Amino acid sequence: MSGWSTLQLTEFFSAITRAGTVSTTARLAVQRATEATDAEVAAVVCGDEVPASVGLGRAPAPSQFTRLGPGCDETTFPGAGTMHVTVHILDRDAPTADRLIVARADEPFAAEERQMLQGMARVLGLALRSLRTLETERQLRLAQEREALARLELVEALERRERLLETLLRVQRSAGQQPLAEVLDMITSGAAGLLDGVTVALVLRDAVASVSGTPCEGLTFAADRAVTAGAPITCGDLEAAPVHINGDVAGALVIATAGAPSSAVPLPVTGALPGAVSPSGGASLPGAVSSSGGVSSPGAVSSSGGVSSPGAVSSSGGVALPGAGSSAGGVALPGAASSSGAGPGVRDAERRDVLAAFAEQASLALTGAHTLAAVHEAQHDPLTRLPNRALFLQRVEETITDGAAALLYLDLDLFKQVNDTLGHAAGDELLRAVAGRLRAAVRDTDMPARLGGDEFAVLLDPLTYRDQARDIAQRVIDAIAQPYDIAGRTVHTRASVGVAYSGGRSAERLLEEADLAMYRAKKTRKGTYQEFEPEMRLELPQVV
Amino acid sequence: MGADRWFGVGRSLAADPATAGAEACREALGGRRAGLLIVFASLTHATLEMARAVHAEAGGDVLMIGCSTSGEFTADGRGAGVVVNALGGYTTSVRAVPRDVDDLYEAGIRAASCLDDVDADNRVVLLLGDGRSSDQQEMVRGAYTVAGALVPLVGGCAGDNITQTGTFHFFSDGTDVHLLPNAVLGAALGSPAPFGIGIAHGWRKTGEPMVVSRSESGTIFELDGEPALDVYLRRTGADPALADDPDAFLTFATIRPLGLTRRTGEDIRVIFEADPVARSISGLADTPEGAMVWFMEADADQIVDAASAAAATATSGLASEALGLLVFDCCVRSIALGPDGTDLAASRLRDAVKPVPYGGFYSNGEIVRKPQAKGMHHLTVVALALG
Repeated sequence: MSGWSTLQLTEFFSAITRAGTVSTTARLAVQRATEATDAEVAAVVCGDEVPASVGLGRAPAPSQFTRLGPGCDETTFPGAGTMHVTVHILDRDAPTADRLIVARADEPFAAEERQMLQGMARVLGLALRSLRTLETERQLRLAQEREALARLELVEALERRERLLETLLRVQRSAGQQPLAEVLDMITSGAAGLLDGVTVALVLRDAVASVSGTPCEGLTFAADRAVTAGAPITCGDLEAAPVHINGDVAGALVIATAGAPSSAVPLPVTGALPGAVSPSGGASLPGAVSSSGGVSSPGAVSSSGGVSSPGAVSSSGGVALPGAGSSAGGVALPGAASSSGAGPGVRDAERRDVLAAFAEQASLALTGAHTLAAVHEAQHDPLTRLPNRALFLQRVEETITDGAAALLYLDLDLFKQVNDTLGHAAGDELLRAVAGRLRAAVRDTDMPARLGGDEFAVLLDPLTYRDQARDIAQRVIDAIAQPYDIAGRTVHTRASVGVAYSGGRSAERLLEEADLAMYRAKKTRKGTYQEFEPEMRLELPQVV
Repeated sequence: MGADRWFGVGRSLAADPATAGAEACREALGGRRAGLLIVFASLTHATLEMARAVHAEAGGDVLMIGCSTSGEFTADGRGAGVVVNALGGYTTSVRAVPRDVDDLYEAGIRAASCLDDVDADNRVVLLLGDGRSSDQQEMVRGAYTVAGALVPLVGGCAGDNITQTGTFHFFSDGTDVHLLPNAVLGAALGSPAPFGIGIAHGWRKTGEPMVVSRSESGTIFELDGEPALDVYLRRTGADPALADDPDAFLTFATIRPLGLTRRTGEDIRVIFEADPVARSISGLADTPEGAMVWFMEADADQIVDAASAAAATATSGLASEALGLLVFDCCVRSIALGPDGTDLAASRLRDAVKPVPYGGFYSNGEIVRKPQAKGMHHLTVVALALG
């Protein structure tokens, strides 16, 4: 990747966060924007005013710039001839369509440059809004009309802005230096952190690439709508903004505006949910699988620790959005700021800001990473190249709604001994070999995946005859049981397999059932398969 | 009016500064009456007496700008003395900003405001900055707010024979002559014929990139999360003791610059100072946090050719043969090239430009602000051709 735009944006962040007034900030913005793109002319337009411009002399007529709106891609400046133009809105919530305008003579702005300038415009918008908030705060202080609580909330709003800028800067600095998956996780967890722990997911090509918080229903649906609209959308409790790769819509960043607070707390390793037991009943996972169980996938795909029960997810519909009294100018108003919901004090405008800013960050990171291979990587286990848990669950969710399918849950026996006696490198080699056997043992239409550790799963789709799942399960067991040549030694392992059948269950539920069946197989006779039966739920180990 | 425009250059290596100034000016004028004098003088010759002698030689009522150098050159050769460039027939105006204006952005605005006095089809602002000041890019940014996209900025920063002691500027707005330490000067030139500008360096990046993980203005504290000085010494294979010897470090580091990624190539950052306690390294221009930098290596032949390449580019933009050229050649290039290489570069410049007269000096930073060129440059050659 060139990384050029990422670096320019990082520099822009550093410069802009040091500025102390609206005019200095605007001046820095036009300078940096022109220098970053080798442009000749730039201006910041706020309403009918032009707080800063460069390239047309000391005092150009404001109308030279105020006449240029979004969508304008060419203009003629007197004396300077025709120039290519790009216009970027600073703050979509502002009533005046404040914008950053950049123009140059030699060639049109490339997609990457426009994306970078949009990132700059967004940061500039946030910085200007912060400064205006600060100015408002000063006025409030002078007037002595606000109560102490109002001031406190104002400071908190400022701190949130500050945190937003800092988080963006941190993400920005990581882009290009860390693996894409980690950067995407920083984006979702960063946005979630700023919004007091709501669920934030990045959906790419119809699959969740990264999620922070409790995954909830409709993420891909909302993402799909944003992708189709090519613009931010609201879809029930979800808000989504499209992300781009090289200017093309590639997916969306989705925020669940009304997260269920209890579901964001990692479950203790126990058979019963504390407190809010979900209507779907007993959804927590058995202690035996707690190392890899839960919604968040191990490793790269999600940094959240939020283990959820499917039932808890369904409670997400009930929380009201924060009040509609938010002011477009971003000044925190007493009262309106303390509504319940996604997080105390987080209001609509701020949430949209965060969504837009982080969607742009995601676009930049993805464009930087450049290739579909990188997107592929974010959804696959780097060791075995199999789909990872997030992608697997996604596919299961899509598949089980139409037709007969089954899910195999595999756990390797003796794996720990290999790791302990021959070392981790040998363990890794064994996992790769098992993945190869697994691939070979299933059909082309089936989807094997690595869930984490020594646990694998296979989605069997379609099932065309009665005992087909059993046959494939046995085939998998036999294939894996063949000896391996690892590090000059002959190594044996075997798989215990749980089988569960689709039938109106969610992906999570299906996985859980297969897991329980696997648990039974492991307990009764290792290296065999068991099919899920409802009474297995009663055998959950009770941990105090 | 075209027939009235002229450019002359004169050089003197006389030991006495005033004598050298008068001799150089006489040669440049060739009996003509100049509208603007542009004086380049080595640190040894950068005196008020020299400036007065030049001014008096031209008749005592003439605009004059100039600066101290790390050596000057003309088609007659290079050396440490005085070079005077004299122009006639151009519309001209000058400004001086003394060092007590410590906001370089403001200094740039004031220096470029000479443009207000010049109305012509083709205009250019010649800037002589102070190579010892912290961030000359700010000065160029200020000047650009005045000049804008229509008027290029070009020039160089005063030198001090690489002694890091201080620079001087020579100035006259017609009558009084001033010697100004660490100033910024501007001269606007107007002409019915176009001006040409050329820029070239010949360096290229090498090795693995490093990320500037902590910096403030021109000082880099960390590269790739490690103390910057340690990384710099290790990656250049330098003796660690170098950090404790400022002169040796300067000599070593100036020809091992860092390059900063830009859309159209690299911005070169010359490193000139190490802090053995803070483990930091410093250059003259801002190297922002988060930026990716490379070591830059020199391709000897391309560096030698940079001066002639810049001059050729500058003259190629003109409709007819240039009347003269001003050349700003980074002083560090001489260190990188050595005496023989510097002589070779000079002879290739002479061959490329012949028979057009030119005057230039070894500068502490080169200035071009026009499309595809951002402002301050380093280890670079800049040429202005007068049509």
